[in-house]
Amino acid sequence: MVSVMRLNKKTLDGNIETLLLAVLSEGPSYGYQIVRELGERTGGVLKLGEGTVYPVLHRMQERGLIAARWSKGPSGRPRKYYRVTRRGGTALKQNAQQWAGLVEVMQSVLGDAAAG
Amino acid sequence: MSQVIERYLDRVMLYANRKSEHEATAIRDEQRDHLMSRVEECEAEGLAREEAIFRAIELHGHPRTVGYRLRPRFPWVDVRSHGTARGVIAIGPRAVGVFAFGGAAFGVFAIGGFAAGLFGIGGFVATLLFAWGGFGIVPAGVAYVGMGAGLIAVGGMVAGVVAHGGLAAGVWAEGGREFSLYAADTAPGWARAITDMARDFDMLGGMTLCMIALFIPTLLLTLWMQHREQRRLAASDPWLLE
Repeated sequence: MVSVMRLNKKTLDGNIETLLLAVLSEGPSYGYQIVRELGERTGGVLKLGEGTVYPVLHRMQERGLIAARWSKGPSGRPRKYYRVTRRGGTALKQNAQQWAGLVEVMQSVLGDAAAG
Repeated sequence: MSQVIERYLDRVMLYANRKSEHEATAIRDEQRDHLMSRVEECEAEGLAREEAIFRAIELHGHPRTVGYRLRPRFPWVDVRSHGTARGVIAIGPRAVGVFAFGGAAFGVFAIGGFAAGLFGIGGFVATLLFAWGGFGIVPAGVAYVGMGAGLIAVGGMVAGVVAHGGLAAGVWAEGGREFSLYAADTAPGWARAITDMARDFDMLGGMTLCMIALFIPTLLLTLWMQHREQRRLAASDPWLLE
């Protein structure tokens, strides 16, 4: 069952960026909201160390996958909003296609074992 | 604003070690916004302010983990007291860099208890071109080791295409006790030149010279830089989450 499945760090390595891009592709967002969104969508299965999301976001920004701008949040604190760039959108599309292909291949090999 | 959160952020930024004030401020502001947002949510769920703050910090992660990850990706110099240092010059328990110094070092030039890369010095060395140390494996170069193997292997107990040592085995081997496929003097000129050099050179003297010229200064530099890093970290409040 997904709810009891534990995703270890290795499973996530290389895929966190895709997940972040997917969340951001729905509109600009800031770190805390992204972390919450990921947690909610995965039913709590995906629990990232909250502080460790930022280095990934910064790297993605350096590589031009996302862009950022500062503005004031509702509480008056400065808040950094991220959005997906064209390059990020292309990367997301490619990664999503690869994932779909991988899932299909795994399903065809694992068959019923994946459900059990 | 919470003092506890500010002290937590002090510690994160200490590990992050950002030189640019602009970058440091931006990182700090972003982390603070996250923590305060979490505090507000925890309070809305019914936690007391103090509990909410500690919950937010706990969820955010150990300041060392967060701070180290916030370091620049591959700086000129990266010195760490924990984990893996990555940089042009990397110093840490594990080090990955062009010049890597550590318990386990991986780099073009690697020096450590275990060293791997192109050129290495250490207790156990696995390199492509040159190794000097206790145990060594060098598939495409010279191993100058107590015990080991290489294309050309020189040392106490060695094996290689060309080998010279107390106990030597190889295609062309010579030494105190040798197991050689062909007579050593039929070895290619370039290989003979290297083994001749090893034979004529006083091995012990050579090793001592190497030690003085390279290893000891490097070791001292590494220790000094790690000590400096420790002192920098110790200068802050060590109480939070430690």
